[in-house]
Amino acid sequence: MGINLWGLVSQAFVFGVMLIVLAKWAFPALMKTMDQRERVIREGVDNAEKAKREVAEAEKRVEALLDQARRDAQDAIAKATLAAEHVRRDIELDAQSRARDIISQAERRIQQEVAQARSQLRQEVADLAIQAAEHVVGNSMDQTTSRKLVSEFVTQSRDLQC
Amino acid sequence: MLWKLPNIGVPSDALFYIGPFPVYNTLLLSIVSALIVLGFFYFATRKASIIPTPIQNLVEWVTETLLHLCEEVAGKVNGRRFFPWVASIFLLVLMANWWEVIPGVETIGTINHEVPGCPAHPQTVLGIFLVDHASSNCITPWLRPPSTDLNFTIALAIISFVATQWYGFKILGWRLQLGRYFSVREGPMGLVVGLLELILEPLRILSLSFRLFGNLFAGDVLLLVIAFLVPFVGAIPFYFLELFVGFIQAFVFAFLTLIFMTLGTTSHGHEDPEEEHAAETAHATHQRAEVALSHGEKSAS
Repeated sequence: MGINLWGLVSQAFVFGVMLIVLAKWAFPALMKTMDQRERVIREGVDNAEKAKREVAEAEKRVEALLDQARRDAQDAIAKATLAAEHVRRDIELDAQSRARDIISQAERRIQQEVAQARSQLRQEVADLAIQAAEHVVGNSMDQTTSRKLVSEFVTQSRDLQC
Repeated sequence: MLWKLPNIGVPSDALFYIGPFPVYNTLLLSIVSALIVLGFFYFATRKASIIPTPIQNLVEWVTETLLHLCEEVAGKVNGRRFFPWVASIFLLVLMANWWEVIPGVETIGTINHEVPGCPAHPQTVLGIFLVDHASSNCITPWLRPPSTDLNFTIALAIISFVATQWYGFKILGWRLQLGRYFSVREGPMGLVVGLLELILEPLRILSLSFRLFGNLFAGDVLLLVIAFLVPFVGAIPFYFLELFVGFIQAFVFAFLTLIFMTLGTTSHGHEDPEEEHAAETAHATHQRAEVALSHGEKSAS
C-alpha cells in the first residue's frame, strides 16, 4: 500500500504549512476586504433608503404646498370675482346715474327750448294779430298798446286752456 | 498492440532523496498544489480592493461560498472557527484531484529498470506514447496526483480527526468530551454507545481516506486504461468525468470534516440554541450526504 511514516508526515507538513499561511494571512486579508465592501454597500443602501425617504418627504411637502397654492389661488379668484362684481355694479350704477343726468339735462334743455319756442311763437302770433288788426281797424292804435293788448289776450287764452 | 498497459502500482515512487528522506512523486505535486492555492490567494489579496480584480473575485467567491456553508452547518461562531480547516482541505484536495487530467502527469518520467523486462539504464521519457513497445510499461512518473497516494489521504484524514478532537476538548471541555465515550451516568446503554463512538471515531479516518483514495485511484487507472485502449481521443469524455469526480470528492472530504467537527463539538445536552440548531443541521446533512454518497458511488461503479 505504500503507507509510511515519512510519507504521512511530509504530506501533513505540506497541508499544515498551507493551512497556517491561509488561516493567518490569506483568509483574514480577504475577509477584511469583503467586510469593507459589505460595509460600503450597506452604507450605500442606507444612503439610498435615506434619500428615498427624503424624496418622499419632499414630495409630501411639495404636495402640501401645491394644495395650499391651489386653495390660495381659488381664494384669490373668488376675491377677484367678487371685486370685479363690485366694480361692475359700481360702473353700472355710475352709468345709470350719468344716463339719468344726461336725460334730465336733455329734458331741461328741451323744456327750455320748448319755452323759448313758445315765447317766440307767441311773439310771432302777436305780431301777426297786430298786423291783422291794424289792417282791419287801420292805424287807430299805436304799436306798443297793441302789443300789450295781444299779450294780455294770449295770457288769458293760455289760462283758459290750462 | 502498439503499447503495453503501464505498470499500475499503489505505492508512490521515490524520485530522489534529501538525506535519508525520499521525495515522492505525489509529494512533489502536493507541494505544487499547495503553492498554486497559495499563489491564487497571494495574487487575490496582493492588491485587494473593494472593486475586485477577476482573480480576487474568483477567490472571494470560493471563500464566501465555503464560509457560508460552514456557518450554515456549524453556526456563526463555530462555522468561522472551522472554516480555515474546511477551506484548506477542500482547496488542497481539489487541486490534488485535478492533476490527473493534466497532460504530462504520469506520462513523463524515467524508465524504471527495476521492472522486469525493462532496460537496465534509467532513461528520461517525455510521454508514454513516445517510447517503444517494449518499454511503454516501464515508466516511473515524475508527477503523480497526490490523491492516488494513501499517505496523502490518510494524513489529511488524521489531521481532520485530530482537529475534531482538539476542538471537542477546547469547546466542550475535557469532561464532556470524554463523557461522549465513557458515559457512566446513562447506565449500561450509555457505556455501549460510548464504546461504539470510541470505535467509530478512528474509523472515520479509514472511511475518509479510503473513499478519496479509492475514487481517485480508480479514476486514474480508468484514464490510463482508456488511453491505452483508445489513444488520444478515447479518454476525452472521461477527463470531464474525472473533473467532476475530483470536485465531488474534494467537497465530500471537506464537508464530512465539517460535519464531524460540528458533531464532535456538540454536547448531548444542547444547552445553547445555536449549538442545538447546528447539531440538528449537521445530523440531517450528514444523513443526506451519506445517502447521496451511496447513490453516487453506486452510479459511478
